[in-house]
Amino acid sequence: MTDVMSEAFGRELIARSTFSNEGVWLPLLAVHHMNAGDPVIRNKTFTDCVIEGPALVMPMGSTTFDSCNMGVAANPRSLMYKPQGPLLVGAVGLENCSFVRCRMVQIGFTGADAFLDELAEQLVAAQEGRV
Amino acid sequence: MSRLPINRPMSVAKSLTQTDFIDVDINLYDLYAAHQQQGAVVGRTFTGCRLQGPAVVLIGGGTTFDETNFGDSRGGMKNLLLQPMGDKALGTVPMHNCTFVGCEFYNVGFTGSPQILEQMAAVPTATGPAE
Repeated sequence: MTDVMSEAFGRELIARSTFSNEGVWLPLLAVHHMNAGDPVIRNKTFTDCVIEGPALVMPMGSTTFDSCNMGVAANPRSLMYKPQGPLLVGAVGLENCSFVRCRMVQIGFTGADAFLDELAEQLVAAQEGRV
Repeated sequence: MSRLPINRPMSVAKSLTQTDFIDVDINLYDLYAAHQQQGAVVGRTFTGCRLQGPAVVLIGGGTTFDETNFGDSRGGMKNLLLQPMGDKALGTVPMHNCTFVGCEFYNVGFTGSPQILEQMAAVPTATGPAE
């Protein structure tokens, strides 16, 4: 059985730039990046993946979500959190990552007010069938 | 006598389903995975434990912290706090009726009701009083 906490597994995991048709446990991916000295997950493309938490993500740079299911919530704002300070601890930074047709499970979102408002508007519009 | 700082060697918890955790190191996302069926970590006691993220803990009813290091707040407790924008808090590690005594958190954010966030924001930090 693969030891997912081993250094060898971690090095192999963070060296990948693409993930397709697979489940990705985001906390594990984040921890291996941190163990390698990088607190942010950068420049990855996830296609047709299930992205599993529990995790709060903070999209940065040109991170995009294309045709993704962002999670299940009657009120889409239940997926969102407003930082209370100028810095942020405990979230997973995603910089210049692309998510295509992915499904988010137990994933919350945080970031600047403008990002959260835009995401909320998009999710409510999708829920109401406006897009 | 103060339990903090925790200077013992690393000791990974062998089981994540017990009621009392004493002097062990725990990844919070592993802990959540072990309690996922209940949807929350309920009724556990943590004494002298190091709890590691990345994760955001939802502080539920009955959860208490005694002599706790909440982690590097980078200048202000508010950097550890996130306000839920909806009526649920998805993507977090919910903890209800849990007791923390002499524990340390690493890379963990916290969320909860406005009253909880207010209390947490008032916790003094090593770098100075809460803003």
